[in-house]
Formats: sequence, structure tokens, C-alpha cells
Amino acid sequence: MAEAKPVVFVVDDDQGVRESVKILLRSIGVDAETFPSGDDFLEKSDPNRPGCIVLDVRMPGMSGLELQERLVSMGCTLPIIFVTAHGDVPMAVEAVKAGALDFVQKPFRDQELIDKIQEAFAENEKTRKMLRDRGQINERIASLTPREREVMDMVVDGKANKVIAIDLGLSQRTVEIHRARVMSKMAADSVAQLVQLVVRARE
Amino acid sequence: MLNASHDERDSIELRGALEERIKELDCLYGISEIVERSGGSLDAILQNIVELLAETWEHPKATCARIVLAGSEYKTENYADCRWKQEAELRVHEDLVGVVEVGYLAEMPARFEGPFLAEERRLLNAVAQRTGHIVERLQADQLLQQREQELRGRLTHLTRVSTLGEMASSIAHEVNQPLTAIAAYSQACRRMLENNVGDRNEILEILGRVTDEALRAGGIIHRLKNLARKHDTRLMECDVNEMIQDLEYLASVDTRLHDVSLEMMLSESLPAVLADGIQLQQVVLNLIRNAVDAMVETDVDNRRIIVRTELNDSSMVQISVTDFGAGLPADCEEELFQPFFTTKEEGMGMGLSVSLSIVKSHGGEMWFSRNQGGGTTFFVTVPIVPEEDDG
Repeated sequence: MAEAKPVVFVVDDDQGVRESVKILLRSIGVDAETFPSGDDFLEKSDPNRPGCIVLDVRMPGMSGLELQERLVSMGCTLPIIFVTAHGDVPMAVEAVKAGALDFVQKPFRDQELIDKIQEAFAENEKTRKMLRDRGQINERIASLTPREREVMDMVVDGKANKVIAIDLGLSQRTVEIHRARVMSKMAADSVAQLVQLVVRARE
Repeated sequence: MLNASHDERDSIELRGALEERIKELDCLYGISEIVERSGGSLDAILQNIVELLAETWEHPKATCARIVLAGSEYKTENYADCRWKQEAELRVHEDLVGVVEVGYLAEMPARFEGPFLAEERRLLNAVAQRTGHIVERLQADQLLQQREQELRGRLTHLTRVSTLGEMASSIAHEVNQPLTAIAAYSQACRRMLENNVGDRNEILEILGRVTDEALRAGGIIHRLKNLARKHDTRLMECDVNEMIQDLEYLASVDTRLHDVSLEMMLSESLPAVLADGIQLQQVVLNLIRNAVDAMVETDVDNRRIIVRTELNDSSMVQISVTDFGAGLPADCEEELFQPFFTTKEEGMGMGLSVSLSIVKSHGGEMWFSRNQGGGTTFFVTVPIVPEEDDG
């Protein structure tokens, strides 16, 4: 199923800035939704929708950095582009260290913001795909029996069937059967692929 | 017999000379008293000297006197341009600036200089010289006062600009907002035209917003410039509430970014006060800025400033600024209003001292009290415009 169209969530306390960014994005066919404060965004938006956040660093009440912190703790994956004034660059650097994608300085060139938004969209899509994949892998792992799970962990650790058989007190033949079922349930063609799937699930 | 009458005549002359000498001393002493009593008004001094002179001459009832100084004239009521008069030059720093004149309105017996005594000539010269010195001293005092006022004005302006300087970052942020909006709106218009999206009305609407944002930026700068400009102190009738409302916008730019709520509690229909509006705004802005700084450590929910106006008594309007901050350190009453006293790292320490001198020059008062629940309230009073007598 195709993903919903990504949206730019604009969070800025200044109405003029909010509206103008929304209109600018609309002029290039990008959907935007605006919020006058961090609280308003948390209350009204769905952080699981695809897109990115264009966030003012300096706002009364909840600052941009505080909102970022809240979103990270909620496990929100929306990339954040901070909007800063000239003097706030150190704050923006702090924000990028805390995981923000990038920042632009007010006033900004449209192309600069648009490029960063495109980058953010791509980044968000990648993350979402990875999360989707991980969800799928976890489902497969969940379908394993406890014994199969034990065998898989040992295979991934690079142990030979003989060693696994001794460690688990099973016959080598039984280990081979478990192993074949693991490969089939995990939809892995090779041990290398199995390792990759398990690593991705642990990320 | 002849000798006896000679002696008698000598003694009469001696007595006459003594009397003249006493009059002369009386007159000079009188001038000193006039200067002391005059309160520094040159006009009053010169008018009184003229009157004293006329009383001192040998025939006071027939005497008129006049001083002419740099185009101004001071004269006795009966002054007339008469045939019998004597003059002495009035010099200030050796420059000839006028004349002191005494005359008789009627013919009198001949004396040393026409109808005038030799003592009178001497006295006239002495008075002219004294008057010259008095003018010199008053001019020097005036110059000193003028210089002091000038310096005070410059300090007031400097402090005001420094307060605005402390707000520079907030103000720059505030101007940056409309600029950002203008840039985004205009770039949107360009893209819409280039890509043929959006209709004419939509683009026109956006252009209207560009104008609004530009005017908004201009408004901030206009207010800033108005407060920053140098001006001569001018007391005019003004409405305290209007003045505070005009200030509110600029002050709130700063309070908002510090998460401080600025609350106005302005009493309606206050009488007009006699004040220099900009200087009064300076006092209030300084108090608001101090209140913001006092609440840096305060819990965000409690960061409030209340600006209140009310009628203090029948002759004063009172403005108060209340914060809910840490409160002032104990025992700072003495130093608080002194120049260079500051609790801020970047403060000049002139704010309150200059504010106090502004308020005093308006005939008002300034003080503070510690709030019961923490924080400080500063009070300022300004005299209202006296009601005109209809009688």
C-alpha cells in the first residue's frame, strides 16, 4: 500500500512566518500544517504521519529545543529542521547534536528550505521503511518456537551444528531440522542473510 | 568771629561729606542685599539697583535712574530723558555692554559735576562696576547650570539607549519575523508566477500580506527610533495610560521572549500629567526591564509583571511596576538609587539613578516596597496638570 503524502509541520509562534512558509510550500505543491506552539503541535498533530517538522528555536512557552526533547522521548521519527535567528546559531548547533536534521537562518532563501525539506522527506521515508521492515522481521522472529529461537541465536553467533547439538543436548539431526525451520520461517536464503535480518531487528 | 564762622562752615562741610559717605556705603550695602534676595534673577536685581540709586542722590524726589544692558532697559517709574544727568559705563569682562544713568528732573544748584556731588560721581562709578561684576557672575552661573543640564540630558539619553541596547537581541528577533515572512511570501509569488500556479487574486492577496509585514517591521523600527532619539526635555500635558500603551508593544517584545507575562492594570480617566513623555516611558521601560531580569530564576508560570496606574491623591498620578522575582537583597535601600549600583552582570548601574532624577525633575517621587509574597514593586508619582482657575 502506498504511503500517505508527506506533510511539513510548521511550528512557529509568529503568525506571519507560519503563514508565509505554508504559502511558500504550497507554491511548490508541498502540504503544510501550522501550529503556533509546541503544546499545540503535541495536542493536535499525529507524529506518526510521514513528513518533517520546521521548528522555530526561540518561542515563548515551550521552546523548540524542549519540543524536540519531548518528541525524541515519544519515539517520534519526524526529522526536524530548525529555524533560527542570527544570534541563535549556538542553540541550533545544540539542536543538531541532539538529533535535528539541520537548521536554516531567518530570513531564508526558498531553495535552501525546500532542499532541506526534500532531504528530510527522504530521510523520513528511509526511517519509516526500515521500521516497517523491522516490524516484519520481528513478526517472523515471534513465530519461532523457543527452541528454534535458541538455535537461531547460536547459528547467528557462528556456531556449527555439532557444537549447537552438544550445547543443547540434542542430536545433530534434530538441530538440522530446527535450523531448516528457522531459515524457512525467517525467509532467509543464507546464514549471511539471517544474520543481517537479526542485526536489523536489534538496531 | 571770622575764624569761628570758618570753623563752623568746615564742620558743616565735614558733616555733609560724612553723610554722603554714609549714603554711599548704604547704597553699596543695599546692592549686596538685593543680590542675596533676588534668587538669581538678573531682571529683578537690575530693577532694584535702579530704584536704590534714585533714592541715594542728594535730591531723591527729583531723581530718576536707568540701566541699559544689551538692549534691555531698567528704569525708575519717573524716568525721563532729562538735561541734568550723569552716566557710567557698564562693562562685562571689559566689554562695554551698557550704561548706568542718574538724572535730575529739575534744575538744582551747581555742584562738582553740574548739579551732582563728587561723591555721587564716585558712587555711580562704583555701582556700575559692581553691576558689571554681578552680571558676570550670573552669566557664569547660568552657563554652569546650562552645562549641567546638558550633561544630565546626555546621561539620560545614554541610559535610555543603553536600556534599548539590552533589548537589542529581542528587538532584532522581532524585526526578523516580518522580514522572514516577506522573503517567504515574495518567493512564493515568484514561484507561482513562474510555474503558472495560483490565480491573480491569490497572488494579489499575498502581495497585500507582504505590505502588511513590511509595515509591521517599520512600526517596530519607528517605535525604537522614537525612544532612542535625542531630544530636549519638554514638559507637556500627557496621558499616562496612552504613554504606557504606546510603550507596551516594545516592552512586550522583550518580556515575551523571556516568558514573562506583561499585565496592564490601567485606571480609566486619569487626569493628564505634566511630563516629558519619552523620559517617562524611559522610567517605566527601565522598571520593566529590571523586573524581567529579577525573574530569570523564577518559575516560568510565576513570571508576571503588573504595570498599574492610579490616582495617588488629588495631585499625583501613580505608576507602579510589580514583579514576582527573587526580591531585592536586604540593606540595598541606600545604594539602590546610586549611580553605578547594579546587580546585573551587564548593567551600567545608571538606570534607577537616572530614573530617579527624571522623576524628581518632574516634581514627582520614586520609591519601592518588598511584596509579601516575594518580588518587588516600584512606585513613581507624577504631578497632574493643575486645573486652570476660571476666576
